[in-house]
Amino acid sequence: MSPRSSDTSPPADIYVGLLFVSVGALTTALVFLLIELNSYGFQLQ
Amino acid sequence: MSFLGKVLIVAQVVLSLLFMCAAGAVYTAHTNWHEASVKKDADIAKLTTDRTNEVTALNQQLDARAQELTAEKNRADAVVGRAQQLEGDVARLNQETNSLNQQLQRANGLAATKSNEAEFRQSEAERERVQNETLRTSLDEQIRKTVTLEDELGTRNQAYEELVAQHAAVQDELEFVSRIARQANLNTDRQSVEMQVEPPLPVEGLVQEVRKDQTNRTKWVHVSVGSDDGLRVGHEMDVYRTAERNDGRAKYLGRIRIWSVEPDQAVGLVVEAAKNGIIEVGDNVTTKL
Repeated sequence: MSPRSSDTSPPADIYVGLLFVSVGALTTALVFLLIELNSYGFQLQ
Repeated sequence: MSFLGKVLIVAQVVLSLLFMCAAGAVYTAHTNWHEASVKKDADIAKLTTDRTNEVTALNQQLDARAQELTAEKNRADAVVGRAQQLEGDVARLNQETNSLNQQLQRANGLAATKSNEAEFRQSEAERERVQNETLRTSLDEQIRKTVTLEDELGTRNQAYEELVAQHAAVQDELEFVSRIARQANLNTDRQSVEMQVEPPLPVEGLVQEVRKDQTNRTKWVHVSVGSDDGLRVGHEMDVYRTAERNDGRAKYLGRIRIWSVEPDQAVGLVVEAAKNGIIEVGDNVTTKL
């Protein structure tokens, strides 16, 4: 992999937006799963 | 970006969305098995407690039934003993019954005799009842007669009292008249007065009966004429015997004074007796001499 300079970062495109959508979906899913686990008395140590 | 990177990004997005949808579905439509388990445990504990209580109650009932069974057994034993005693009593009563049957037969024989006697007594009672009815009827008649006689006696008593009062009044008047007669020197002898007032009528009769005194002389003469012929007490009659009864010669026998008079007969006292004759039945008496 070649090094890249900070002023040559590519511009954001639709795929970056899709990645944020994916992050939001994963976060929401994790929240749902945590709430579900909490109902069984699950606690993070 | 290569084509492969783009495909991977799209796949990642699609899979992330699918994962989110699956997590949301699990969150919204899941079943909380933990709570269900706790609830089931509580139900099981409750059911266990209930079953335990039921078992305890059943055990108590079983003990009670056992006690009742024991009591029933004891009572059955007592009943058996009582039954044996009653069997003995029944045997004794059978003997007594036989004895009483014999007595009953004797009593029946005696009752038959008494029944015959009772029938005889009843027939006798019927006869006496008839006699009693007759006597009662006679008694009623006698009572009715008695009442009538008592009424008549009351009437007679009342009349007697009135007559007594009249007698007393007449006696007073007689005493008064007698006193006046004595003061006037009048004769108060009844016979002489009657003789003066009413001289004897010409009467003839026959001597019907004679009575003699102790010297065998005729004293009382019963003649066949009385007050209906005009004869009164105090009148004097001559006694004679006709010629037909004395060998063709009439005979004077004496004189009598009338002492008692009845309507068709009289009794006279001999006041003068002839020396040559005895008054006898069949001689004539007259006031005409």
